[in-house]
This record gives sequence, C-alpha cells and structure tokens, in this order.
Amino acid sequence: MKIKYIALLAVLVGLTACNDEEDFSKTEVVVALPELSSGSADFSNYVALGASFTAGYTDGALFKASQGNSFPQQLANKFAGIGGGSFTQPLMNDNTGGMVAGTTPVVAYRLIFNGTGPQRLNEFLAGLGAPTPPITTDITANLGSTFNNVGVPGAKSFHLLANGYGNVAGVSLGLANPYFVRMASSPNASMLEDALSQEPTFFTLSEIGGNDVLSYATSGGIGIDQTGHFNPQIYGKNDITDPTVFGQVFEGIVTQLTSGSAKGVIANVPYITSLPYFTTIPNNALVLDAAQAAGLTGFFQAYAGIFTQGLIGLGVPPANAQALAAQYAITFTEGSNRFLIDVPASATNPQGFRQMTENELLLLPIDRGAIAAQGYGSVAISQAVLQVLGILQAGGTPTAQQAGLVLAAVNAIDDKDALDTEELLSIQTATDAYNVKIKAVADATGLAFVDFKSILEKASTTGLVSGDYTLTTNLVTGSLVSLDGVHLTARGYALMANEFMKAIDVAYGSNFEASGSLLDVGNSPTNYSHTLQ
Amino acid sequence: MRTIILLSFLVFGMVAHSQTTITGKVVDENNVAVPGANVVIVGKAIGTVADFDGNFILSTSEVPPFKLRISSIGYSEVTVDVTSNNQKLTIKLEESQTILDEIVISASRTPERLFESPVTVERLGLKQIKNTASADFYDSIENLKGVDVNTNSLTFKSINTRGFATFANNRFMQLVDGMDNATPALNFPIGNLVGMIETDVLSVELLPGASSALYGANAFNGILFMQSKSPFDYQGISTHVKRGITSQKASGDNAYTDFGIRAAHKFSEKFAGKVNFGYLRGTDWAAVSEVDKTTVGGTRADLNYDGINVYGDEVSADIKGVAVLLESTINPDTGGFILPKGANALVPSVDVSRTGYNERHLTDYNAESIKADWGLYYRPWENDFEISYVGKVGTGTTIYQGLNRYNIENFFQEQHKLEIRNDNFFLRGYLVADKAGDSYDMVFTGININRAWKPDKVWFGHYVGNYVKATLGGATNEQAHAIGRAAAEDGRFEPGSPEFNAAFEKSVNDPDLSTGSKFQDASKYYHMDGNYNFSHLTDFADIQVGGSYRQYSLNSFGTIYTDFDGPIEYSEYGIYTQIQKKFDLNETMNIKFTGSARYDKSEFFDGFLSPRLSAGLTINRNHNIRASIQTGFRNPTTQDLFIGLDAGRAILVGSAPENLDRWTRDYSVSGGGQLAGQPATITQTGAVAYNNSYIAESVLAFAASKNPADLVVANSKLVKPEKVTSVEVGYRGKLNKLIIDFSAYYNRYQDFISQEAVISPFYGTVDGNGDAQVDMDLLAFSALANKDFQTYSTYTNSSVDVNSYGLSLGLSTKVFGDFDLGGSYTFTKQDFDQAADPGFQTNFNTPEHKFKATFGNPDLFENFGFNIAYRFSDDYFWEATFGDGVIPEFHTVDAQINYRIPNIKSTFKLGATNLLGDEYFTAFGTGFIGSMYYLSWTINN
Repeated sequence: MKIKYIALLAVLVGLTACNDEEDFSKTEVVVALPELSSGSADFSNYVALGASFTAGYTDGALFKASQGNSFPQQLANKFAGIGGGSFTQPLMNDNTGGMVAGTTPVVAYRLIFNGTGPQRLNEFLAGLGAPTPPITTDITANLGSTFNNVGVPGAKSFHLLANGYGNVAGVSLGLANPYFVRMASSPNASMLEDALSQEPTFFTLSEIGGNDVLSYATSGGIGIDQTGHFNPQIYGKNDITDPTVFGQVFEGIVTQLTSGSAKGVIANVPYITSLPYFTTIPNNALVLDAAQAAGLTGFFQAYAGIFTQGLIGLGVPPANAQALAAQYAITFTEGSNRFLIDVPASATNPQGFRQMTENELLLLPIDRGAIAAQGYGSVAISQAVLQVLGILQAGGTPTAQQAGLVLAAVNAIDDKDALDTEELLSIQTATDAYNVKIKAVADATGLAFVDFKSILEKASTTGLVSGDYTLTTNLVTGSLVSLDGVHLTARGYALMANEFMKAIDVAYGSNFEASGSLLDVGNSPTNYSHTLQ
Repeated sequence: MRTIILLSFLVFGMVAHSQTTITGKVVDENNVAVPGANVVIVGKAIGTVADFDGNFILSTSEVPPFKLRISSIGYSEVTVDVTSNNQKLTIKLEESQTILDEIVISASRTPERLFESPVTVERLGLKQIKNTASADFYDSIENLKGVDVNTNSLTFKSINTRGFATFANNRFMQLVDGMDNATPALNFPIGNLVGMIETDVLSVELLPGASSALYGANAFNGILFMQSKSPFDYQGISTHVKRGITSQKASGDNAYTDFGIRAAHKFSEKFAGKVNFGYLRGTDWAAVSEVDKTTVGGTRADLNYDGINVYGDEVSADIKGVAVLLESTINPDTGGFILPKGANALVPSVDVSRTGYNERHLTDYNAESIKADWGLYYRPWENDFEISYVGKVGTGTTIYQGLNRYNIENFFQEQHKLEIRNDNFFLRGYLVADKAGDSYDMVFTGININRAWKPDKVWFGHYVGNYVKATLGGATNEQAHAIGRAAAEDGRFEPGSPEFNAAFEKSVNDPDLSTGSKFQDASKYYHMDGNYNFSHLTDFADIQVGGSYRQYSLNSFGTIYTDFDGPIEYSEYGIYTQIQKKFDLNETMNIKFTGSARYDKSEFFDGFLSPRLSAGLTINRNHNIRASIQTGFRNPTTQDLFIGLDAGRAILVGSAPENLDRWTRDYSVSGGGQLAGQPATITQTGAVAYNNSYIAESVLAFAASKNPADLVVANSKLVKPEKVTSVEVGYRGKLNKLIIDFSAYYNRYQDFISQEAVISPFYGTVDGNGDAQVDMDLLAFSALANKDFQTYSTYTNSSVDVNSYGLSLGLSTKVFGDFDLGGSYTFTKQDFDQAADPGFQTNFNTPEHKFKATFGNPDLFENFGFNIAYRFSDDYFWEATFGDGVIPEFHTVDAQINYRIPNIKSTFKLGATNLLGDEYFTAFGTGFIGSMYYLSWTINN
C-alpha cells in the first residue's frame, strides 16, 4: 500500500515542470541579427571628398550643428564600430552659419523656419527684437590642419584639382573658396592633394558634378553652357562645365584616390531641377477670376493689335504683321494660368516674351510680392495703361506714345528667375553626360556606387520611404531638403548615409543593412531651432 | 396557531430538551460490533457516537418519527427509521462502501450507483462539502478531477471540463434542481451568483464531456447538477456565517462576509416549504496588469501602448494619416488649414494610442451577492407525486470578462419554476429573466471618459499638430512625440477629479458605446421539459422519453444584440429517448447497455440527431469497465447569431442571415483614401465581414511584407451547429482500500464554432469571383495601406477538424488509519492544425497537465477534523476576445481545520485558500488570485 502513495507523490513531483511557458507563447521569437562586419572594406582612415553635401551644408549655410549631422560624420560614426578611426571635420566656430573675413561679412546667416517659410536667422531675430548672435567664423583664421572631411560647399569638379582654391587672396576674385581657405593645408594646396595627403583607406566621393550644373540652374540659366569648351579657366561661375572636362577631372580624381589601393564609394548626380528650389513656385500660379481673365485677354488682344499696327507702320505686309503679332494675343481663363517669361528676342519672337510651357520652372528666390502686387509674370497695369485700353475699346486710335505704354506694361518674368526649356535641356544633357562617365568609372574600378539620380527621382515623385517616414521634396514640409531648397536636412543626410552603407554592402560584402545598422532617420532632425547658437 | 408553533420552533430549535431515547448496537455483516460509529439524526446536527462494543444511547428532543444516519469509516452509511420512543435498534453496516457506491442521477437521468454509471461522473456529497477547504461549496468543485475553474472574479467562477472554454462558457450547462441558470443576456451560467446557498445543497454532480444525448445543445463540454434539499426530508433552520479577509498584493487585505440561512418546514405529509437567503460581500481581486497587450515587452512609455488593465488606450491612430487629414482641415482660429500641404512627410507612419486609465480607477471592486429562493411543495396523495413552485432571485456586483471587462453592478436575475413529478416522470416549466442593472463596460468607460474630455479627432489633432510644430522647431522624432503627447494631454481628467467623476457618471449611464459604456439588458427565456421513465411498466428494458422546448427573447436595447428595434425572439426544441438493459452474465458479473438519442431543432438550423451508446461491465461489484460513444452538437448561441457590438478592437457581428444588415455603421475615410478619390465617409453593414474580408493576421503580414500574396481571403461562412463525436473508455475499481477511477476520451469536433478576426476594406474587392483567392485589386490594397478598414470578429465554423483527447486518473484511499488521501491527474491536449485555418481561435484554454490532491481526516480526534487540498496546473496559452497570453503554471494549497460542538449543533471551520500566498491567475486579463482566510460557523447542517 505504501508504494501506491509513493507513486502518487512521484506523479506529483514529476508534474511540476512538464513544459516551459515558451512552448505556449505565441509571440514571435526575435531572430538575432548578425553582428556588423566591414566585409573587405578598411575603414581605418576614411576621407570624405566632395562639395556642400559632404560638408554638411544645410539651410543655406554651414554651421557646427549641421556639420555634426553631415553624412560623412554619420557614416564615420557607424565605421567606428568596425575598425574606423577618428574622423575630423573643419568645424565652424558657431551655429550662425555665417562667415567673415576680418570684419567683412563673406557668408550670410543660416535660414530658419519662421512659421510660414524660410528666413535668415538674423532677420528673424531682428523681427523679434532679439539680439543677433555675432558671426565668429573668420575665414582668415586657417585651421592649419588636415581633416577627414574635405567637403567644400560650392566646389565644382575641376576645383578639386585647382591649386590656390584655398588662397584667401583669391576669394574676392572668385578664384578661391572661403570654406577651403579655412582648411587648406597651404594657400596653394588643392582639395584633392589635401585629401590624398591623408592616405585614405576608404573614401566617399560625392556630388562631384553637382555644382557644375547647379550654379547655372540657380542663376536661372544666365550663365553659359560651356559644352565644347575644354578650358575651365575661362568658365564663369554660373557656367555649365563641359562633360569632357568633367570626365577627365573625375577619372583623374578617382585614379589618384585609388592609387594607394583605397576603396570607396562614388555617387552620380541627380536632376537638380527636381529640388524644391525649382519646384516650389508653380509656373501656373497666376490665378484669375473670370473678370480678370477677360481683362488680361483683352489687354493682349490690344497688345497684338498695337503691335500689328506698329509692324505695318514699319512696312511689314499686314498679313505677315498679323501672323507675327498673333502669338501675343494670349488668352487667359478663369483659374490657374501660366506666367509670362522673358526669352531672348528673336526674329520669330521680336518682343522677347511668351507664356511658360508646362515643364518650365520658376526659382525659389523669385519676388513673390511682385507677382502678387505688381503683375510680375503678367502685366503691370497702371491708370495710364487702362486709359489707353479704354481708347481702344471705344474704337479710338491711341498715339504712338500711348501704344508704347501698353507694350511696356508687359511684365514677364526675368531670365534669372526661371529656367526655360532650352536651359533645362542644357542641364539635363550635361547631367546625363556626367552620369555616364561616373557609372563607367564605377564599373571600371569596382568602387561602390550610389545612384542618387534615381533616389531623388523617387523622392520627387512617389516619396522616399525610410523607416516609418515617407520623405518628399516639398520645401519645409518634405523633410528631405532643407530650407534653402537644394541641400538636405540632417534627416536627408541620414538617409543619404544609409544609401552609402547599402552600396558599400553590395560592393564590399559588409552588412550594414542586414545587421540592422542603418540609421533611423527619425533620430535626425529636419530643422534647426532659431535658439540654437 | 401553526405559525406561532413554527416561530417558537425556529427560535428555540437549538435548545435541547430530551424527550426521546433510542438505544442500539452497530454491527458488521458478521454481527461483530463496530466501535465508534457516528449516529446522527438526519437533517440535524444532533447525534452520538457508539462505544467500543458498538452500543449507543441517543437522547433527543426530536419527536419520532425521524431518521437516524449511522456511519463509520470503512463502512457504508445506513439510514434507519425511528418510529417510537425507547426503540431498540440493531444496525448492520456493510463494509467498504465508498464514494463509488453513492447514487448519481445525472448520468442516465435515473438513479444509479456512481460505480455503474455509463459515463464519467463526479459527485460532491454533503460530507465533501462539509470538509472542503475551499471558501464555499461551489469553489470546492475545483478539487474534482478534470475540472477547470476559470476565475473571473471573487464571485464569478466559470466551471469547465475538457477544454474549449472562455468565461463565456456556453458549452457548459449548469442545472439547479433541473433548472438551467444560464443568464439570458449571455447564454451561459454566471457561476453561483444566482445559484444555491451552501446549507441547502444536497449534492453536486458533474458530468464531464458531451451529454447532448440527454440534455441537449448546451451540454456539450459538460454539465453541472446541483440539487437542493427537499423540505420534506430536511427540516428546520440551518445557517452559516463566514467571515474573514481576502488578501491580494494589488488590493490589500479586505473583509469578507458570507452568510446564509435555510428555513424549511414540513407542515404535513402533504405540504412543505422552504426559504433560503444568502448574502456575500467582499472585495474583488483587483486587476492591475500594465503589461502591453499588443506589443511584447511594451511599456507605458511606448507610443502605441495598450495595457491589459488600462482602458482608453485601445484608441489609436496612425499619425501620418491624421496629418494627411489635418492638411485639409480648417483651423477655426486662423481660417487656414491646420497643417500645410505635404506636412505629412514630417510625420512617421506609426500608431499612437491615447493615454488610458487604470482599471482600479474605473471600479470600486465591490463583490456582492445577494440571493434568495423559496419553494412550496405539495404532495396531494402523500406519496411521490409532488407539485412544486420554486422562485429564485439573485442580485449582485461582480466582474465579468468577455469582450471587455465589465463591472456587473446590481445585476438581477429571477427564475420561476412550476413542476409536477413523481418517481417516474416530471414536467416542468420555468422562466429565466435578467436585468443588467447598473452594469457597465470598463474598457469603454475609459475610452469615453477620454472622449468626454477631448474627442479622439481633437486629441490626435493636437498630438500631430504639435509633433509637426516641434519637428519644424528642430526636434527629433522622439522629442516631437513627447511634445505632441504632452500638448494633447494638456487638461486631462485626472482620476478622482470632479471632471473625471462627472465624465465617469455620464459614461456609465449612457448605453451608446460611442459616448458611454452602460450595459443594458432585459432578456429572458422560457423553458419547458418533461421526462417519463417507463421502467416500472416494462420488464425487458428501462425506457425513458423526454423533450424540451425553449423560447428566447433577447432584449438588450441594441447594446449587445442588434435588437435596437425591439426584442429578438426565436425558439428551439428537442426530444429524446433512452433504453437501458442490464444482463447478468453470471453471479458476479453483469453488463449494462445504455442507448440514448436526442433530436433537436432550432428555428434557424436543420434538426440534429445525437445518439449515445454505452456499455458497462461490472465484475464482482468492485470492478466496472465502461465504454461509450456519443455525438453531441451545439447550436450557435444567441450571441453567435444576433450580436452587434463595437468592442473597440473589433466589431462583433453575429451571423444569423437577418442579423448581417441590421448592423450598420459609418466610417471616416483616411486622408490618403480621400486624396485617392474616396468619399469622406463610407457605410458598411455587418455583411462585409462575411462577404468582403481578409483574415486579420494576413493583413498584418501584408503590412510588413507589402506582398499581396500574403493576404488570405476570409469571407467567413455563416455559422452552423457544431458537432462532436466523443469516444470514452473508463474503469472504476476497488482494490482493498484503494479506489481507482480512470477515464480516457477522444473528441472530434467538426464545424467547431469560434470567432474569426477578419478585416474588411472600406473600398475595393477582396474576392469578387468567389474562388477563395485574393483578387489583385489595387483599390483594396490601397485601403489596407491607408488603414481604411475595419476589424470584425465573425462567428463561424472552422473548416478544419479540431480534435482533443485526454485522460484522467483518480485514486483515493485511507492511509495511517483513518486519513483520507486522494489525488487525480488529468491530461488534456488538443490537436488542431492552425496553419490550415489561420486566424481561427479554438480557445482551448486548458493546461495539458493538472494534478490535484486532498488529504484529511474528518475525525482526527473527537469532533475535530482537517483537510488540505493541493492543486497544480501546468502553464497554457489563453485565448479569448479580451486578449491572449500565457498562463504560467501554479501550485496552490487550501487548508481547513474544523471543530464541532454537538450540543449547540455547530461546526466551526478555520480555513485558508491559497495558503502559500503565491498569486496566480487562470485567465489572461483578470486580477491575480490572492489568499482568503476565514472562520465559519455552521449551525444545524
């Protein structure tokens, strides 16, 4: 009998731990991610060579905080865990974004968001009646050292090879760059020399070619498309660099960077015209009610009539005169209408203006007040002009002087504020040519390659998904592009760093993405507070 | 005059005036004296003990005739009639009568020895109830083998056997004196809230497994029978009072009182009556879990926190979608849009939940149960023919956990029964009606206090507006969330503040779940059943026939059911028969065959025939081997058919065809959806859950992968009755003093009724051609991406068979002389291919291994006894509408010591439940079960 209750007890003891809770838990087991590894890349001495993006330029300026969020810095932070060495940047003295040469302001304050749009920090603070922090970064104070980050805002491809680009004496002549002046190892050093002198084991070569079209674009195409001209010495600052020149320069840079068997990443050039600097102001923002539309249409009928009469007066056969003047009898409709822009006067368009076409762009700095108040982009109608129109309405004939008032009232948008079809084509053609070269170099060298062209294309169309965010190219709200409409936000630079890491994974077998080491872009801000000093 | 006599009897009944003297001798089958036998007057706590030679003398004020019950350890109990004063008795006790010799009636609807019952049956008699260490007799059912008790709250415990139960256990039936006490609103019994008081309990029988063949649709998982004492057999006043404390970490130590009184009187051989009254008051187990329901390891700091016992945080939204809407919402202060165009790019697509209130701020945790019943019994011919009327009312306050957690307050249920019966037949009809009283849904109380303070739209608007503002001011994601929440939370109603209290009062008195949380119901059902046993007329076999009819009247005023326009009524009936035949194979061996069949028909479904066949072989009175095969079925419940309830996380739509379009609701379309050309509002009826829906889990998978191949069509089929086929074998035996009770079963469920979580897009087609393949409908996919969808919980049948099997072994014996030692082991396992029917929850909810043991001695020394009960439950996974989670294993010990003082007819019991103090829980989401310490005084039982 005893055995029986011993058996009972045995059952009891045996039952106390039959199975584990884990057997029942239906929560998914988190699969441990692999440890981050560098693959075949050697990150011990990383050098970033490039222009404004590499420098960390944002909100129309470069400042301490923005440099801290530059994509090379964010990359270097990741590299640090897998053999990366220290990473130095030529930090600005403060967070104003401005620079002085002695006491002369050279570079303006950064932009901030004032609640409705971008505004210079000093203007905003002045509006508040708050003290404006002084600019303490003096370009004449050379930092006297070499830095891992050789990103110089504004540098075009050939500037990387230019000796004297860091000579303070050349700044006022436009031959040198104040940002490089601060950090050049000597007045005669070139950016590439300074980069090479650090014997990089790994490099990023980014946005080369960007400035070669950007200044042309941001100037509204007032520069010259230098395609076919192979001497950059003669280029103006707003010119487009010849693709052959670009190609030689780019290939030369890569050859030198890789001469010490360094590995690295290169990136192509996006269509900069999809940046908000060019897309924020719609070209059809001439919104009219029915009466206004009829009034404007009437004005241009009058214009065409006056012009016809003028031509006939000059001896042009009436039929020809009418045919030529017909292009100025522009009709307007209730609702949105495209603006008028200036174009070079020509035999077919002797008056040198026309209505914009669908894909033509207006630039961010355009005077929106003038559009609203002074008929910029359409007609500046004064009392005198109305009087002439009245005469015409009544069947009268205005005097030559009166007719001249009407012709002069057209207030088309200046060339500097717009990119017309031809200018857009120049930009696109040059960009495409640069990119062909960049891809060819990437293929030839086996360097990692980032396709920023497709990335920006995606951002400007469907939006770019990163983590929980979908970044777009809207100004202010898109979170990708900073307040200057061209450069990225810190969040945008984080995304850019992620793209570099993914490309490095592909080329060198590292596992930034697979190990979950990509950046969470939400950890980087989109804006810098005006209180940041 | 009679009344005065009765009254004086009531008042002085306890004072002993010796008038009658009986002498006797107790002997065994061989006429050898049995020493120390207990001699007690039936129905009284008056008695004596035989001496060493088996002789006893009993002096009592009782006037003959009355009955004496003589019992002794190791012998079966005997009852003898005392007809005159100074009577001399010789009582012969049979040896080794055990629990197996007790008479049960539930297994075959006719009295039979438990030993020979054709199916597994458990019994709690008076002795077990008196000696239980549990807080009351209902709790002690937990110690029966194979029984699961799911503890909702202190006063609402849900009994089940063999798995597949939530608190809404409509597969399990509970009969009190033949009367179903399932609550009409809910369609399942609510514990002993409207049950019996302890001193009126004669016996409790429990049949695990399907009993549909005799008891119809609801007796699918098992059935619990409670029988009260007849006033013809048990007269006088008996009472108990129990006081003590409940002790729980979350709620501290709280007083506990349980009082009951029974008064019964036989006025003549023709007429008797009884009245019972019970009152219980205590403090419920507080449910204070702040564990995140939806995110593993989530904390209150998380954006989309949804705490188990934190309510209001169920409301959540994707803030990017909110931002999109804000871009087209006019700010009344400025006249401009709240957010500039495109600002949603600054906002991550993450779900953010509102801040909830802890459950303890939404209930006072009062546990109260007041019940009374009365019965009048008339025997016109002074024989077994009896006409009776029984009325029962119960009211109380408790907590019920169903879709949400409900504070059931001042709930009221009444039952009235008329019955005619004799030994061969009964015919009864009864009414069960409830009123929800001041009950309310605590989850919606939390949600709607929040809404009363700040509508969801405004709250999320503030959150997102400030998130964007902060971001543009230079904040990172994390900082922007903190600023957004702080701004949205500004002015929140703090618990205890006058604003909070006002919003609370408003919510609990408002039955509209979009603004309030009052739970309204006044449902009822009428039931009739009858049975005739022909065994006294036929020799060749024992034959019974019977039938039942039930009419439901659902009346929740649109708060549970879609009965907004008046009560929903429907009916069902069933008829059954049973034939039982015993063959004596030889002098020591007999075999008994039982065959039963029942036909049931509900208004909504085809009729269903459920047969049962069983055979029991008894050898030598000490060994019984039984085998049975039976089918059972269960009609969908009232909720399965007619519910229409927005439970927050999902909308529950019952699947009666006429119900689908009775549920209709307007939904706001997201900003993204509106941008794509959808209207701002879309109306869905409940039918979409059944004809245009994805499996909810597959939508989650799709959200992660963006791969339409991960989507699975749901389009739940309308529910139909579920069926079970159950095969069972068992053995009962006596080996010397060891009693063995073993059973094993295999159940195969077909068309298993359960709920399915499905998601219906506001636009787009899930499966237009009905080929069960997801249509490549980009519109529907965009609805999912925009979160333009509603989650529904449908009532349907699994396409996959669900099997379960198990066994249980009970052993009991005497050790160290007179100590009772018993133990049982139960194994239960389900066999269900989840992959074949994703999204389908079986709610198996029972541990694979259970172990129970009791040890005690009712007569350790004179008038003193003790009992210890131990239970072990293995860990298991709990699934129910309120939430799913792991139930860790637990061990618990109850113990009691008792002391009887015969001259005041009293028993004092000092007891404790969960003596070890390790808090445990049997279901996900409830309060943890703490300890109870009590002292009880029972008189005259």
